[in-house]
Amino acid sequence: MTKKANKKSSRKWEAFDVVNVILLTVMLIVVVIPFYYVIVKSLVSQQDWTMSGGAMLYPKNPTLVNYRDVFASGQVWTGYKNAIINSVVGVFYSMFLTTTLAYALSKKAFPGRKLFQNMAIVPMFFTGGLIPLFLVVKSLGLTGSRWSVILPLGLSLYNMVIMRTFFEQVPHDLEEAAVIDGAGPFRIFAQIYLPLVKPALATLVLFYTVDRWNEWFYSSLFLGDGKLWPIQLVLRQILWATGSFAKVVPDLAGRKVFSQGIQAASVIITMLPIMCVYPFLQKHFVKGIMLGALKS
Amino acid sequence: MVKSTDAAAAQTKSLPKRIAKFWWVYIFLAPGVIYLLFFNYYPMYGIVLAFKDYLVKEGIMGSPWSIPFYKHFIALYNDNQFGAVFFNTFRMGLGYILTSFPAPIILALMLNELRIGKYKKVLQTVYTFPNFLSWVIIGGVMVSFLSTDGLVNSLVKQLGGQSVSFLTNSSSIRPIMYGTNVWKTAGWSAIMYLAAIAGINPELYEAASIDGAGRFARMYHITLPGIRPTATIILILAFAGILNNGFDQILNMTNPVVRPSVEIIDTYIYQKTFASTPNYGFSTAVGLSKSVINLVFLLLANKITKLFGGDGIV
Repeated sequence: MTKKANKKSSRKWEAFDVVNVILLTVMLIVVVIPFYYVIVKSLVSQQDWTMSGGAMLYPKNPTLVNYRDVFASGQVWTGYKNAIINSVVGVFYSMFLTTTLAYALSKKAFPGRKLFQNMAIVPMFFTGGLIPLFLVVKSLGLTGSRWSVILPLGLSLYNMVIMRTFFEQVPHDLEEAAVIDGAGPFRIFAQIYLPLVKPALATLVLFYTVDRWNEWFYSSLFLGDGKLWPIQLVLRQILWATGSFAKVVPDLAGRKVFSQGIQAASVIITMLPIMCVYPFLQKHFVKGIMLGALKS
Repeated sequence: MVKSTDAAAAQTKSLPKRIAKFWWVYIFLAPGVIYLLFFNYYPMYGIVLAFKDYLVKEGIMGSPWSIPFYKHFIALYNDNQFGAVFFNTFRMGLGYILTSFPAPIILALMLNELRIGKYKKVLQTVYTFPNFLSWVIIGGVMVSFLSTDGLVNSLVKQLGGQSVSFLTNSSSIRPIMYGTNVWKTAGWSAIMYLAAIAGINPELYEAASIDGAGRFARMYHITLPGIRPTATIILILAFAGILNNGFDQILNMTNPVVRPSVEIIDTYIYQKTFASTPNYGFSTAVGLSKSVINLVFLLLANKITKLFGGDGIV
């Protein structure tokens, strides 16, 4: 046996490896199939669907008729617009709160640090609960406006703690050098600290964006008016009250709409942004969880 | 202006001078602190509602105290549903932990043993993806997948079997919840364990191989102890949140038919408050009871870990 072969034999595929690959592949299929099934369903007409008995390998006679029906009502467009507004404004707001608080708490010597530190930690373990928050938002007069969803969901303390760790790791002499050059505290923050923690900022932006995009619960409590509903809430309505949605779709030449197809198409439309972006940004998400692991 | 933030130098000055020196820190603190006061501490103060009779006109502060002040807790004690809901919350919380705690560990061990690097990346991307979708979406996908005319049942029927109504059957709904929860979250949770495994000193594996340890021996004696600290923290947090599991999922995957089988404290509060005539005082009392039990669980779990020589989190 040559040396090379010898080396290889220590990494020989055993039965375990084969079984392992097979099992992992089965799990891959288990994750993918429900999505694939919904995609196929969204692309066929009711007639073809019924004829197939509800199980197609691929869409026969693919059609976009379900997507057209979904968009015909206009609700989905409004939902998209609202979700984008809530996400953009909300993420800016959340990042502002997170970085400023984290930066302040990363400083060691100011009087009252312990107090503020504890103030930020207690809510991680004890909260007022849903009803008091609901009544607070109501009493602040926010109900019925976008702000009722944007403002209360501002700060994830978990993200703040991660961010603080990053600020703490910036070498101290950089700041001292800047002070000697005459830079004020806000310039130091914006021009020295923020650029140095860019990777962490990017990750937090991703997490906050996903959270905002997926938000439906507070929207359902605070936004009575359907005009302000984000896409997730519109989707929820389509999924759980499909009869009423089908009525919203204009009757096109007496054709009956395919309610399951409409539901499927709505699901795809709602998950599309994440589906398109996630594979490319996955490593940044992963970095995020590593930060969390590092911290704990 | 801002000088060195040298702690020792700062300690020697008087308090007002030190505050004046760090004036800018308080400006940075202000937005976050205002946020916390409004949306964390004001609601915490709102817990007093558990002891008040809420009047819309009077608000949280102005509403009169209940007589006796523990009135809502008596109502809670006498509530004929709450006992069952309370029990079910624990049962489901335990069910969620028993499934979603081991699953990512097993997945991480399997992925770690995978020899093909590129395939591993593909698998990770796919496995982690569902975690970033809302329960509204996953609910839609799963209902369409598991309902009586969904894919699973269509296949069963085409193979000549009887269709099973997974989602309207009170005996199968809980396992379905645990299963779909694992389906959504395990891939993402596994990443944390993979990170921990990556941090294990490779020399340990080499030394073990030389000593003749096989694959499973190395897994058992090196990998598992290597991920123990991570697993411990995750388990503590899981127990601390045992009553919080499933709210979003239940609202998006179950219909009224099976709701009683999956009713947990959170959904109970939600249903009591937003689906019928609200009694805010009562709902707050339910919520407060839950928060307190949660806190006790956190402290207990933490204590037990420390007892067994772990690090704990508080």
